[in-house]
Amino acid sequence: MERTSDAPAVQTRGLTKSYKTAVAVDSLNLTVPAGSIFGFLGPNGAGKTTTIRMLMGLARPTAGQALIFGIPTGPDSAAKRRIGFLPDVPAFYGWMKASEYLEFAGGLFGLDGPLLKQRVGELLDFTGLTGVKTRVGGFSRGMKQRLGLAQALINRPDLVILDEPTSALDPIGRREVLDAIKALGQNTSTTVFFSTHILADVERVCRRVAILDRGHLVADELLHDLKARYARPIFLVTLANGYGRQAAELAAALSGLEWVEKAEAAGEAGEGAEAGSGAGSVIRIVAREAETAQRAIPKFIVERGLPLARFETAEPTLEDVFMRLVNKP
Amino acid sequence: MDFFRENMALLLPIVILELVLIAVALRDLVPRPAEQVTGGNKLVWGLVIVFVTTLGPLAYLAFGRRQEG
Amino acid sequence: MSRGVLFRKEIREILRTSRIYVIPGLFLFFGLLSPITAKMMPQLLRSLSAPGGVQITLPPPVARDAFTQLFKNLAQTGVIAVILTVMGALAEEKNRGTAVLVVSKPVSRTAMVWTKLASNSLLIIFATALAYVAALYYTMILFPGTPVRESLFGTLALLVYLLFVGAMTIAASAVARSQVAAGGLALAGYFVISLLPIFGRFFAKWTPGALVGLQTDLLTGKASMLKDAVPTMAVAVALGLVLVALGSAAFERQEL
Repeated sequence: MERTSDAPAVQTRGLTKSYKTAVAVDSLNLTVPAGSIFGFLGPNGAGKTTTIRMLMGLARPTAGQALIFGIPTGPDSAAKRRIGFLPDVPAFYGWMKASEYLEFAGGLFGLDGPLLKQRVGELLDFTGLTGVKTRVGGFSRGMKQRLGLAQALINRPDLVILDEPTSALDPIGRREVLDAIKALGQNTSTTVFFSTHILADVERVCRRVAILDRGHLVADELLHDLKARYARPIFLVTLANGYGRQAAELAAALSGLEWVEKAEAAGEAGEGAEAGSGAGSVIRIVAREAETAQRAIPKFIVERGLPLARFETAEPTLEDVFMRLVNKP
Repeated sequence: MDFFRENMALLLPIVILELVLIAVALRDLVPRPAEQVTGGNKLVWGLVIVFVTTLGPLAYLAFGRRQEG
Repeated sequence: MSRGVLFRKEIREILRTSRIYVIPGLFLFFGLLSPITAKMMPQLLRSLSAPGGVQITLPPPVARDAFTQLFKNLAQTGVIAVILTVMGALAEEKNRGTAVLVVSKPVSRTAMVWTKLASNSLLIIFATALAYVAALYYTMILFPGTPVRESLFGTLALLVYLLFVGAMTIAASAVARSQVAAGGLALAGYFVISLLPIFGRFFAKWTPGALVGLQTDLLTGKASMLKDAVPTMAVAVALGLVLVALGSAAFERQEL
């Protein structure tokens, strides 16, 4: 499909949705550049689905506006031609087979003949539904999710909007869907906008992330910048083997210090995590400020006469950022 | 009821229609899991289909099936 | 383009989910049964009345009675059956969420409403034709002098009446959130159009409810097809289309 302009894939201006008793989305200003994998993160009930319904013209904004490739959204928006959409709980006609539903979906985009047949075949392969003879009515939740993904791609969309595509799936199903999203992102002309409450999903595939909390946008930037900005410095301290009890005491003692936000005994090292560290008791310390901690932690341990086997900086995770941004009272 | 014996040729199509409807309804009901049947009881619907003339199979086809999917 | 795809889906759904057996089956049943009931009526009443009790004397049944029976059955039970099978058309798609995937594609909600009207109207036409042909055939066997022309006119009035009820139910289904609400709304509409003819000559002539009386009047030749029936039928069709357009406009404004 043609690329009409350099307009962002999604842009909202003061997008607001309020119901009688609550404001679901409050003056959302969001820009999703074309060609990115964009994670729309937030706890359940933050307003993610409401935002997506407004983008799809399924719900009317109370105020503000949403544009998709510069085209205003709405029930009859021309933008729908360029979007593939997977709702949080996709519902199909139970009497159809997967291939029949995809042919129906493609037909609604004006596809037909050999081209449609070929597309349907490709997408059945892509989602692992080739050869499934069961009618959709007998599909498991995971199979429906995969069919939902396939129908969202039938028109080779420029923008794919996925609402919580992984939330109902088991770990294998999740990985498959995330791999599919990643594969879509390889194609620079496709923008993927997906919502989730699962932090690991975002870390796995997104370059950009927006975080929504109680209808408010609390962050919108590159994942890397976000971590750099909001993540607290984290240190891992490993005591020599056999100091498990002392590690717990040490963590408790550290927790009481003013420059420590949180310290906890993180169990025995050795399996998996830090290669070559050998066995030992690990303490995970979230500091308020990096330099102070770097000076104080080794000193603190040495003063207590404990054998410091290893001292290192840990990669801040999105979870740290998320907790800081979302858990404000 | 002499009428029925005299008019078998006329009543036969009605009987055939009845049997076709029963067959269609039972063919739908039998493989269907109980949770996809209104009220969840397949036996009750089976009896309704077989013993309530014409309206039984029609009622099942119209209201007995909970849509799956 | 997408309308053709939507319409084909509706037709296949009617065939694959056995809905094709429900309304046509019921109508065919009435088509076969009505002439027999008309023929049997005197014998039935005789066998029911106790010996020595009140003697009921009826004029011998005639061909016309077969169609009177048919019209009575379809204008009551048939109408209720149409409401009950059509009420879910849009309400169920909204309720179950299948509509979301359709309207998020380049398909207008209006197109969805009108294809539902077209497919369900086709089903009603098919069922009514089936009932009429069956009744006509049986009447010809059972009675002398079948009024082919008059009964056809009466059936056309019946058909327009059923199509109006179908359109009204589609409109209700477009407005309502659940199929039960849609059914309630359509039934309320049915009572209103049934009662309207009581309120004076104007209503008795021009509202869709007038079509019920017209069915028998056309059969007996009391009413003229061109002068009496066609204008009332035209009004009913127009009114049905207006209701669907209003329902469609309401659907357009709904949140899914």
